[in-house]
Amino acid sequence: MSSTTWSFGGHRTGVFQGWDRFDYVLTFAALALVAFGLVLIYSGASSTYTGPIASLANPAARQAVFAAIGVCLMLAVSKFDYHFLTHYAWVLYIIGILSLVFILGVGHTAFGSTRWFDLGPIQVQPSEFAKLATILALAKYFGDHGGDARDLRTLITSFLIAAVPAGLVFIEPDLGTSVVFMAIWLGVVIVAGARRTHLLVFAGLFIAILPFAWTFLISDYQVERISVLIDPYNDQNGRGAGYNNIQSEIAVGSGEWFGKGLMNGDQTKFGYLPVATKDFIFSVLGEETGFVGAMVLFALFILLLMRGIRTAKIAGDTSGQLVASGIVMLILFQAFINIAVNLSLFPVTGIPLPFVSAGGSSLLTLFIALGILQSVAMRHRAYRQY
Amino acid sequence: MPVDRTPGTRRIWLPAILLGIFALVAIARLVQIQVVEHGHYSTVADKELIDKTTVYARRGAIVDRNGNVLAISVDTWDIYVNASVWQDASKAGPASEALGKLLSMDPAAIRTSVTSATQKDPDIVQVLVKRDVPYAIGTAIIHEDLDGVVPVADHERDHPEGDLAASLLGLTGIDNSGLAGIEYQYNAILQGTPGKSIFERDTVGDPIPFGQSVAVPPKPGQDLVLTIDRNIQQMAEQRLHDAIVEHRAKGGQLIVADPNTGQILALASEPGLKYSTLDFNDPATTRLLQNSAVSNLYEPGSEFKLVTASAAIDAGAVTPNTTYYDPGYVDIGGTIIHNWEDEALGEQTMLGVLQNSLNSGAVFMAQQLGEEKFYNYVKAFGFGQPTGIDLPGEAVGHYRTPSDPGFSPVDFATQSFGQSITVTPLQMIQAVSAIVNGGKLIAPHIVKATIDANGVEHSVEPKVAGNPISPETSATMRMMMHYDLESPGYRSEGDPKYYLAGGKSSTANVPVSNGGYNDLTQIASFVEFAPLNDPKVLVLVTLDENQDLETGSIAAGPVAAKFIDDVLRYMNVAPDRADYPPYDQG
Repeated sequence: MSSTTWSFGGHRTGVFQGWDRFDYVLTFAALALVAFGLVLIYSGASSTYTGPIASLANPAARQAVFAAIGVCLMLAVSKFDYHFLTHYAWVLYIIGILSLVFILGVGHTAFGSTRWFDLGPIQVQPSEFAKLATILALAKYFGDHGGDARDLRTLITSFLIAAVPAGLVFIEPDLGTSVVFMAIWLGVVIVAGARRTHLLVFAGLFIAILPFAWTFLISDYQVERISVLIDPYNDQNGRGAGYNNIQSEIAVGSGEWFGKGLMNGDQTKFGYLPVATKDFIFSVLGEETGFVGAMVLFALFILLLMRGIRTAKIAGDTSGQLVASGIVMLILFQAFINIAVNLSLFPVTGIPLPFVSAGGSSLLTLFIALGILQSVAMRHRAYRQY
Repeated sequence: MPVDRTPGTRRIWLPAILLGIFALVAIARLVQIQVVEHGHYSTVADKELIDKTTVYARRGAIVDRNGNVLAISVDTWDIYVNASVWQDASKAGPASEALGKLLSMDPAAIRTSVTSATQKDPDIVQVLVKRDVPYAIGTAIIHEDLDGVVPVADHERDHPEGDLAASLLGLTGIDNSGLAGIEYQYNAILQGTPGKSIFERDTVGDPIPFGQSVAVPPKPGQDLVLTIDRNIQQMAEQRLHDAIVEHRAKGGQLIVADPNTGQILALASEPGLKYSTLDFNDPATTRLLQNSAVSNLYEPGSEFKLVTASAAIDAGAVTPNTTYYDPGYVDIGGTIIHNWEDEALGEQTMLGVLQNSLNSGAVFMAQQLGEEKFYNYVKAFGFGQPTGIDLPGEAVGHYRTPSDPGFSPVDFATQSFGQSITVTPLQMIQAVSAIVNGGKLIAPHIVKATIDANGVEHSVEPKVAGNPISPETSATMRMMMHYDLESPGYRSEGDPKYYLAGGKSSTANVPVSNGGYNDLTQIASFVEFAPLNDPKVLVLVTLDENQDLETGSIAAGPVAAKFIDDVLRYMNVAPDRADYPPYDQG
């Protein structure tokens, strides 16, 4: 690399350095999703929250505050070289694992599952942190091992790196998040060059374990959630596990092409949708903005996906590329799972819709992830090796 | 030179492709439920969380001609219980105790009725506990906010005058529509336009009291102003009832009309509907829903001689002084038709025909007139056609004419004195009104005006359906009818004390199943108007099958006469005769 300091017209130094490579389109997509989410949260909360708009008790206002903090975090993180993070990846990973173990002892239980630390006004979900730590650890691992997943031993080791946190969140139990961990792993190893045969063997093993898992590993509530997915009406009192599926399907289905209009969703307004500001916010969107609104949401996520893939593509080195791939998988796969749950394609899990669902812990993590992505994008030239 | 590059940057797109496939699956699912099956989901959504219910409009009130309320709708509550909420005994217990106290019902009985309703229909959500609970009690129940108890607004029909005019007013059903009488006939006007409300349900499926958002507000019904006068109606019902008891009749009608306008001032009929003894489990109740004044067909008998005489005089076939020889019977081609007294009275004027109610004289008048003209007049007086009275179930009546198969000259002869022809009491009112009012045939009616939501009154104008006779004939007929009541040396039982009137009695035979007549079943009636030169009221008293077999003059005449005296005094009509006592001593 040349030691010449290039100086073009817009090139700045100091804190302003690198902003010309900052991905504004990516930021726009994320902020547009947040904005969309704010409207939906306000509508979704209307059945439970009746106070003024400008109050921190208002879930939409809280979300806006978290988004503002999140943007600051993103800008701050993007100023850090992501190598600083990968350098400490193992430390972060161990902290993540320990916090997951710890939460099983003292966490806050809600909806039959232990996922949060209660820290006064906000709840911290260690699995959010663990997801980022795992992405960094995987990137670090492949970066240190020639960036290649073709070797079976490397592949299996990387699998274990993801499987440990996945297993811990599974015990919480949080089936959805453990699936997200595995999806991140899959996304990373595909980019890292895993062999097709190896992946097929993994897939075969997974299918072989499934009946065993169904019987012994998955909790009753999960079994119930999966079986009501197949027949939501096969639910004695109509208010149990199948209820969520039925209500979200009705909400989305009754939205039709253009929806019933913002704030006009009856299913939302009358409190039929469970957790309408979080897990089932997509149903609010489906009901109030219809198919067209859903397509706008899809377009924003696809924009986010394309910019993320672009970042992975231009990344200066393997770890940057894998970090970017992992983050793309983290955001988009969560989006898919959430939407799939809302459309009764996946059993009910507590996965929020990234950037859209209310929830500080999730939103801050996502903006930090975006910051890391920006960091990769802003430094792609610095580490490009010719 | 490349050192640390992952093999093949194309792999970077693989996760994107995977996610793209996921997105396509999600879009396909969205198309399925939002586009293809949206109808299904919209229906389910409507059915599930919001119940669209009909909000019945407030039914219009029915008032008499002076504004006295006869029927009015009052706000009530129907009390429902959400059965699923009451499955929880800890909720059902206290709620039923409190509800029982407010409704004065046994709490255990309420719980039993709810559970038995769910056993009958497991899908039932709302179980009706009590209908039409008074407004104040309903609001008290809402105030208590009892678990699973849902009051729903309703209206109840209230009759401040009790059973007065019940068979005229009729009934309403629980769906706010009229089932009989004026309530039925004027349902469209009274009912208003029902609205639609969206019943919000909370997440437990309970309708939220007061949580009704009215999507389409109901349009209240219009009020009806009747031609009926509450006091005359009351008097009519009382007098009719007394006469029926006195003469042991099966039933009867007492109709009071203004002959100039066709307005019915009172219409009493027995047997008839009574709100106080209404029992829908009794099959006889169905018959009571029909008003006999419009639906009863009978052979009018001698009163019909008024029609025959009017026709013959109007056509110039006879004058009141035309004479004929009465042998006591008529021979129609071998068929002997007797007069009721069966003795020869010798030479008689047409006035005498009415006074002595001679069948042979009626036949004489009809024969002078001729078949064709006779039937033209009968038709012009409205017989054989509905009067158009605004009450449901009007009968038309029938008589054979020369064009009918099986017509014989005997029919023509007997029809001239009111047999072999069926009429309704209201057809008689219509025809006799025309005879005394100057010759105008006016459809009788019972509604004087409607009052719309803005309080604007829309009057119902009398409809003149024809002019069967001239005013001169009418004047002549009034005099003849007067002489029928009183003439030198003669005074009928139906002659009022204080007013100069005109009238005619009738003792009609009732045809029995073998086609002949039975001397033991008869209809005694009397039709009468007053004052003589400016008729204000026309009264028809009919007693069905009076067991004492008194004639029309003796059984119905005094009832009519007394009624004329009382109703005209009530109407402040100056008496024609002296020693008029103050009304309150009547």
